[in-house]
Amino acid sequence: MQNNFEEKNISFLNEKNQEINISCNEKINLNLVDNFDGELTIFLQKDSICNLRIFYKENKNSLVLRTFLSENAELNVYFADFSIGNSSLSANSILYGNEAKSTFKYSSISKNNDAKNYHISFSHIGEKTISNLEGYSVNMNESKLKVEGVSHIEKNSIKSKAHQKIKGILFDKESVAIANPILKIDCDDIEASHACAIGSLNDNHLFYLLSRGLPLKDARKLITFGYLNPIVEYFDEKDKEELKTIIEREFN
Amino acid sequence: MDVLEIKNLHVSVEDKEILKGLNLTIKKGEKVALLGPNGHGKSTLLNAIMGNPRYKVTQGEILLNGENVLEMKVDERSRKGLFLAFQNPVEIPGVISADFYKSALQEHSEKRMSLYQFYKVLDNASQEVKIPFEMFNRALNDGFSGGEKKRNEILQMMLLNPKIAMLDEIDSGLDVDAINTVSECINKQYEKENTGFLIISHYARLFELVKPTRSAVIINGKVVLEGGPEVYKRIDKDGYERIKDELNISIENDNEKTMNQVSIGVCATKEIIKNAK
Repeated sequence: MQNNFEEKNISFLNEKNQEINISCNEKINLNLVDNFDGELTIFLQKDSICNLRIFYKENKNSLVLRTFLSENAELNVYFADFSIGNSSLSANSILYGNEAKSTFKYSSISKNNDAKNYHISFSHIGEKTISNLEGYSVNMNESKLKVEGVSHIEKNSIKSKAHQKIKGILFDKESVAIANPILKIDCDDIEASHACAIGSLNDNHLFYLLSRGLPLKDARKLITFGYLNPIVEYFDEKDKEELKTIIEREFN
Repeated sequence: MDVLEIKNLHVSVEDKEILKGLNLTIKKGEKVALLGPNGHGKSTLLNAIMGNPRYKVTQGEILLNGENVLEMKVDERSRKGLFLAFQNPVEIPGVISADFYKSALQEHSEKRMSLYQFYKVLDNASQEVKIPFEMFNRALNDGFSGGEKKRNEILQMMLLNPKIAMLDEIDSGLDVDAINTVSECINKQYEKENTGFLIISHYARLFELVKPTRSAVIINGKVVLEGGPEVYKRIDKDGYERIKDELNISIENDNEKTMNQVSIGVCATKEIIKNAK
């Protein structure tokens, strides 16, 4: 993460609804710390940048996130949901300023009958706005995950770009993952794509690793680790270690 | 002396028999050029030997030093000394190449390898195949060019030091310099470790550089001709037609049949009318 960014921790322990205003040209890393149960609204002024790290750990969590992006503002949300139990997240980015940019990346592990629900949406209003949704999930032990991504490019949001990529691995036949990457396009002259792939571990990937002598258990672990691991790099050192430990623990 | 024996091998893919009683032996210290028209079972043979679950062995034997390979799991086959360089190596996002190589190397070693030893071995191999060392901090084959993927396969072969290495069109998609690099690595591996090689290629250029000691030709799922280097040279010059005539065999070409049947638009309509008649 960039060095010249201010660091700030946000807790919902005392106040359920919080608002944060990020001034023009300000650069900030926001860390949401357990326990989550509340609503967060962030206003990003012109030319500001915000990296928001959300790490669901042990507890049941529920977060509503609303963000408003002014001209050339940039929001990057990194969401690691490695919590036990049910959880939910609803995030909406309104890109009303021209050339505003919003990215949402997540990694999620669900197990033991967990039910997890994510709704991530982007509203493109300004011109040349950009949104990206990229998510990776692993479901096991009869868990359920529902992800809905909605990118809406409104009428005058010309030359905007919206991309969604959702991937999920199911470790057993009883687990369920439902993904809906939705594009709503009301404007010409834009660029948009959406992709979704949910299934068991790729047989060709497994065969490749096995053919180099890795036992099945290690091959599965390596693929899954590689699948969830990219989110780790966006977190600070302390959380990085904890995230890695959780991933290791889950697949040992 | 390490020996891989394939006896009366029958292999099916999705209920279609591809190999129909194939016999072949490869010994350590041999470089066998494996030739044959497209779709006649060369890659099927290599995948069956390595244990790809898509390829069902319905009859026959594969023995490595007398041990039944067909009873071994895929990873066990690798640890016993079989290696397959893939025609189309997969990209595995998120799996860091260096981490994977270290795990693979560890599985092939009796002693635990230190990080320093590993990086030294990897650094040497990366220089041999001319891939920048930094690329191994990236995901496996992710964003690699076709040539880099193939050189990456050769790098893994050098790291794992197999008894028998099977190379499936390792030269396809390589430029002249990369073919030279790959063939140098094959020759070094051969000279240093006396590794046995089974090499599929459609081009004589690779064979001229690695100089196979033997050739074997697969047609219609069987080895129909074995001989010295003169065989691949003849095929390069005359194609498979003369062999077909000499051996009095007709080359089955299911691909062509399939292509005629699979049509769209107007052609499909014609096909339906033709069949209706």
